[in-house]
Amino acid sequence: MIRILTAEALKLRRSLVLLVAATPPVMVYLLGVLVVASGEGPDEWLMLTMSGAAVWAFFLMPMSAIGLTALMAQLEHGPSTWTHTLGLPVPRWQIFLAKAVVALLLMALVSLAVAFASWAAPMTGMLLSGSVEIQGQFDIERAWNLYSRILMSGLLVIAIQWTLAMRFRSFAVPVSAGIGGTFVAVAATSADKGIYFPWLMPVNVLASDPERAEFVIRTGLIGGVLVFAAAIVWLSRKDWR
Amino acid sequence: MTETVLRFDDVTLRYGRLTALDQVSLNVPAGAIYGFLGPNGAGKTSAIRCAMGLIRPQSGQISIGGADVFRQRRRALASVGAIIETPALFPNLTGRENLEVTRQVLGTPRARMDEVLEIVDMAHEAHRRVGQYSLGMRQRIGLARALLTRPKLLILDEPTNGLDPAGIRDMRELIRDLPQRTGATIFMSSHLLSEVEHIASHVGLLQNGRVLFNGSLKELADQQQARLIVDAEPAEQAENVLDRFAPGAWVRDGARFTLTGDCPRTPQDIAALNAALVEAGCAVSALHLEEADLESTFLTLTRSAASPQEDAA
Repeated sequence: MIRILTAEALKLRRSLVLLVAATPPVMVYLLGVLVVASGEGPDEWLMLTMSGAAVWAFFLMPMSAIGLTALMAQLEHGPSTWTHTLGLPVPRWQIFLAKAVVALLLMALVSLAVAFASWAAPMTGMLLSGSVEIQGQFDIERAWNLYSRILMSGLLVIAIQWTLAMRFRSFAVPVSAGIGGTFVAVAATSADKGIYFPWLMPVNVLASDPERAEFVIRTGLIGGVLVFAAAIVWLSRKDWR
Repeated sequence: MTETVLRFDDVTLRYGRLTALDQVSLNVPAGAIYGFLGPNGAGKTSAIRCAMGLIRPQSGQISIGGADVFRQRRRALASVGAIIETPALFPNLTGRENLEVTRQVLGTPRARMDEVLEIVDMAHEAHRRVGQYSLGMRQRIGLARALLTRPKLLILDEPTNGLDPAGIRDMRELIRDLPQRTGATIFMSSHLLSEVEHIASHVGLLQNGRVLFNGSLKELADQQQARLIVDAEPAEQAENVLDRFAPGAWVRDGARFTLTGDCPRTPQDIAALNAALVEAGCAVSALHLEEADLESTFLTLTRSAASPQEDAA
């Protein structure tokens, strides 16, 4: 299994996947620097951490899930390498499991980089402005908890995007579904039923009601594991024409 | 008895209402270069995908090295290397990295990569990204990747497709040498009949998902219809002589006589025919035997297979 994981990771070398993975932290960093350096944004670490997490959970995380999974799948769909990959004498489920693990690891790394950017951006902003001072201290533990919970609640979205991307040869299917889901999420941000909508689960981690936050983490995590498991079994058994 | 490396038994595959493979049975003996022939849409790639376990047929069995492709998939595929349709490579990786991906999955020793790159003569180009390769180079890297596991069976789907004449010649020579260099049995599909005729020891003919012929090239040659052509005058006198050799079988067109099928083939028989004509006072201006090539035999077989359907229609 480790060998298959290594092979899947090697496929990403010099691909657009890595460029897309670098985009969210860079965006959060640049946005944070501009906000802090302008002196017009929040001046507390807690608020800055929360706003960075909100941008990630509300928009950048679903978009990253769309982009990363679609590009990962296109590495196989594009040059039609499925016939080779799935014709190798290894269990097919291991190949799809490795692909799922690599996708999740990438999302986790991007989460970590965004969390780091949410600390580095205000620091850079302070240095650039010279006059801005941010109150309090950056709470590493809080940031770690926040981003881990967002990732757990986003597992269902990642699993859905991954499944669509692996199943459909066309880039358009997972991208349309993802953009549609994110658009509905923007339109229905504060809807009560929003906690049942996969694309709204990550942002509900930031809800002031702790029960709501716990519900989306549980649902996102369990739902994500179930969708991944079902998709791996289904993809392993289907015919590849 | 010759060992069979790849075997299809009554394999039927349907895509909805379309029957892609209709009770296909064929066997590929060990050490053969097996040309799997058929026009586009005959079902060659579908058969290969079934053999690789990528599509499950509705009925029938496929085995590789005695192992059932669907029940003992890993055992069956462990002895196979394949290029299906295009050489499917990752364009963002170098040639060597493409091999490395497969090597990692299979756990093949690293030194094997150098060996297979030498076999396909790509050792000096392996550091370049595949996106910069020509089609011929891609085919070679695809072939190197297929050889990584020292396969007993090498499946090549239209390996010369899209190559220029020089590339076709190079690939043909490479494939011809592979059984000796690697010990692999080659199963090679093609719609270019002349390609297979040059290198194959066995052939299978497929049309509309049905096998029209499966056997050695020699067996196919026995079915070939040679033509003996004689130009001799005066025609009436020549006809009398020729009828002694094959009564009523000659087709006459002016002073040209054509005998198709069971012809005198040996130089002695042809010389005897010539001598008889000359003795009878005929002026023989031409006397030659035209051996039918694989293409015309294939066309004859496919036409005869198509005619009952046409009749039915």
